[in-house]
Amino acid sequence: MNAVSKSILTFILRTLIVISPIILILLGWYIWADPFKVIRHYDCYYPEPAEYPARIGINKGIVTFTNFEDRIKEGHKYDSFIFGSSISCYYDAATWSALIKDSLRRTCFAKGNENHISVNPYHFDSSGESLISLAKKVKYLDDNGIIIRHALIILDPVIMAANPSDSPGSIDPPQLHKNIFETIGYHYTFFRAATNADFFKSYIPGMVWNKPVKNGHNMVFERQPIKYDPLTNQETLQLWDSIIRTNPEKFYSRNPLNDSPIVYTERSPVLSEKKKEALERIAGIFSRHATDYHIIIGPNRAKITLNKSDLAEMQLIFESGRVHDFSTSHAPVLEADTMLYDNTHYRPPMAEIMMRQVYGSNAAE
Amino acid sequence: MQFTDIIFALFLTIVFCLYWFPLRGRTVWQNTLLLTASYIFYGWWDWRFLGLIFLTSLTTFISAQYARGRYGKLLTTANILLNLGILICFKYLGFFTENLGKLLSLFGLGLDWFTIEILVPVGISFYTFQAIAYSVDVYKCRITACRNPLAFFTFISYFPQLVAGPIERASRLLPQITGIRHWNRQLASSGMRMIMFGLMKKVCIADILAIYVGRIFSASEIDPIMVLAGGVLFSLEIYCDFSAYSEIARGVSRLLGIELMINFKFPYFSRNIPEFWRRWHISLMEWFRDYLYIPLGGNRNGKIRTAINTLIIFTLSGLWHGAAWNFVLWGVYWGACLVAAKFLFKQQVSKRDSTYGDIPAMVATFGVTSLGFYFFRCTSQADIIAGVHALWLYAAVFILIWAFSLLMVRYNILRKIIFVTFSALFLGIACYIAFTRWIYLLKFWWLIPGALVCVLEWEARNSDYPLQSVSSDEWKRLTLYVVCVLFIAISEPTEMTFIYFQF
Repeated sequence: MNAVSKSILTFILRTLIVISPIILILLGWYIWADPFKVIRHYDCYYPEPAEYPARIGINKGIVTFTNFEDRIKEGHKYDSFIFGSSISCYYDAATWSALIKDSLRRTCFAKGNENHISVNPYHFDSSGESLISLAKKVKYLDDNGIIIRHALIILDPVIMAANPSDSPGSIDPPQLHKNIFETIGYHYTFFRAATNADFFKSYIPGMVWNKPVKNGHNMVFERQPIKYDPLTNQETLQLWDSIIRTNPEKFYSRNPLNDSPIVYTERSPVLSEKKKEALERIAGIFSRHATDYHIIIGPNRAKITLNKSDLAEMQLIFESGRVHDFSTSHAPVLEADTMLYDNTHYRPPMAEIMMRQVYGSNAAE
Repeated sequence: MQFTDIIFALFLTIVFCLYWFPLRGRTVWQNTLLLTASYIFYGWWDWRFLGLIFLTSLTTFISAQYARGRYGKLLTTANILLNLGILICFKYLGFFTENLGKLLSLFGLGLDWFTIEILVPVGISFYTFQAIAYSVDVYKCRITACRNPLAFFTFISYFPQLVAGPIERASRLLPQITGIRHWNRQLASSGMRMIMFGLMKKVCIADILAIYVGRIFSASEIDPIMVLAGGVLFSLEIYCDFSAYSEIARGVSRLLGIELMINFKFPYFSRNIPEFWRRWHISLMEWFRDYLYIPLGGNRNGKIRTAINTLIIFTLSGLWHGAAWNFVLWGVYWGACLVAAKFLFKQQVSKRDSTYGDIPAMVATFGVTSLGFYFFRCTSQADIIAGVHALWLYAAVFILIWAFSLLMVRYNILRKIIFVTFSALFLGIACYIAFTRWIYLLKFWWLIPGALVCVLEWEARNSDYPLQSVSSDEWKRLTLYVVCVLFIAISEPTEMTFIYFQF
């Protein structure tokens, strides 16, 4: 090796000596702490809120898939899935099951055959779920030989505009990665999220005081006191539901809502070619599985409604009577504060109203 | 692909290794690598605009071959008009049609049938001006036309300076591209220092300031205090952002054995307005001076003509930054300030190095600068009007600070008293915060790299670049570098692009 090559290598080595210590320290901390629970497998992703008030907000998609795989290994067999963003979390799986059974009893089975009706629900959701990621999830189930007998897709005119994101809260979990580069990008995203000053600003005082602290631009800790059912991947907010029932003024003084406007705003079209293709893939898989499915486009506090051309497109892609747009008709219900946890997420009673209307049932009180 | 992306670090590593290991000493292959890398770099932004940069390179190269021939003037003019036409089309057509429409509507006419929304190619202003400068230089026999298409295309698209300058002259850059590059470890080390310092300025200071500036300018109403804060903070943001890019560009280029020109020479340590414009965006101002100001007559035709030429140059300079009236206003503001500085206040560029005694003059200059940058940042007419209404506060605050700094500089005893008082106060507040409100120290962590940048730039204000003359003690140097790397590593991911990419 000549002198110039040696000099260049020496330069590279010295640069690495300067850069490496910091990177290795941060990497070491990240691997040891694993604050976003992406490196190791955990039996419990949602510890008890009362015991662990300072819980880092984690990627729901990772929990959904990891928990699903764990339950499958235990022998659970799921055949009914609720898809969507975090809004879909508050569609109660048990209520949905009951409505499906009721609907099946009324439409398909003679009274003597009730014992053969079986619905095993699972929430297959992610935060900020885009239509493209949703299609990937449906495909994942199809590729893994899971029969989708029943499906409920929960959408919202605002969320439908979302595109696949690289943010820690919304990035696709490893089970959906197509190549090693996506997996590297995934781990790099969480490494950066866990080793930047904005994270430490909240994390350090949060750990010291053992309570959620917002000291930076982004929220690090989970605000919601989530009760988690691993069998259905269902999240409930029993503590908040209790406070809202008994003392709504106290709850909403701490979690104020925006005023609901008088006028409705029709969203501009959001279904790009890629999103239409994603919906067509979903429709194709449901067709092959002979899935009994419904798509609910729910309302929101801001009274932003689904664009008519988007609705028409969806009705073309999916079978008749499968797409239910409640973004206009049910928006007045959300004028009542007690129907909402926050400006984006409506509570289970609102979800139940729409499910009952879709499945046309008065049973399962 | 931005300089702050991890993908750029991988890209640069690959280019560096290929450049210096298998291709060392082979200029043609190195230029092929640089050209390919530059097109990959530019195409990463938007592959659709590769055709434009190729067209600019091709027309400029061909027209220069015949620039000294019989139709030289015609060809050179045609090339300039073509490239300016492309620039105007992409950057200014929407602005002109919108304003023409408004003008016509005053007479009851309309232009509603014509609407246009064009995506502005990244860096078009920079490489277009670089190509035009080359065309003119060849025509005027300042340089000979480059006969090597590979070298020339590399010169136009050279990736470190492609999207945000500096706007290089062919006389400086082309010989380096056509010549053999020799490995120089000191040059490469200084390049790494520049990259490190530039990254720290960008991700630890500019991006954080951008959040606060964004909040100010997105407020429904801007009061005078917000105008002052917005102007000052944006001035710091745009300097840290733009100078960081230039430093990283120079640093990357030094890694490849090529020297780019200095684009910023610590402009906020300028003692007067003329000096500021010799230190801020040097490559652009030199371009305007050589290709517009001097052809218009420069300062050779009396004071009035000089003043008019100055106003024209700065108005066009403002328009170069963007197709919006706030940029034009900024240009006119600076033209007026420079004319007033030269003719009313007789300010001249000083050749001596700056000292602590120049701080009052620096404060006054910064006051004028930050007000100009407030207008530069305005996004609406209401913001501009708010700025005009806040002129009294701007003047009052900066006069006070100027007077205070003047007293501090002139009276030693006063300086000592104030220093001791402020130190004690600062220590007391710091201890209080550390023990009772320590989480706020975490919130403003970026003030530490901010203070470090201020100190290092002040120490280097009469040098070429910050960190040029760091301590000779190896351990002190290493500690400084590790600290800089730490700040870069923990920088907040705000996903801010470099401001000057939009130009």
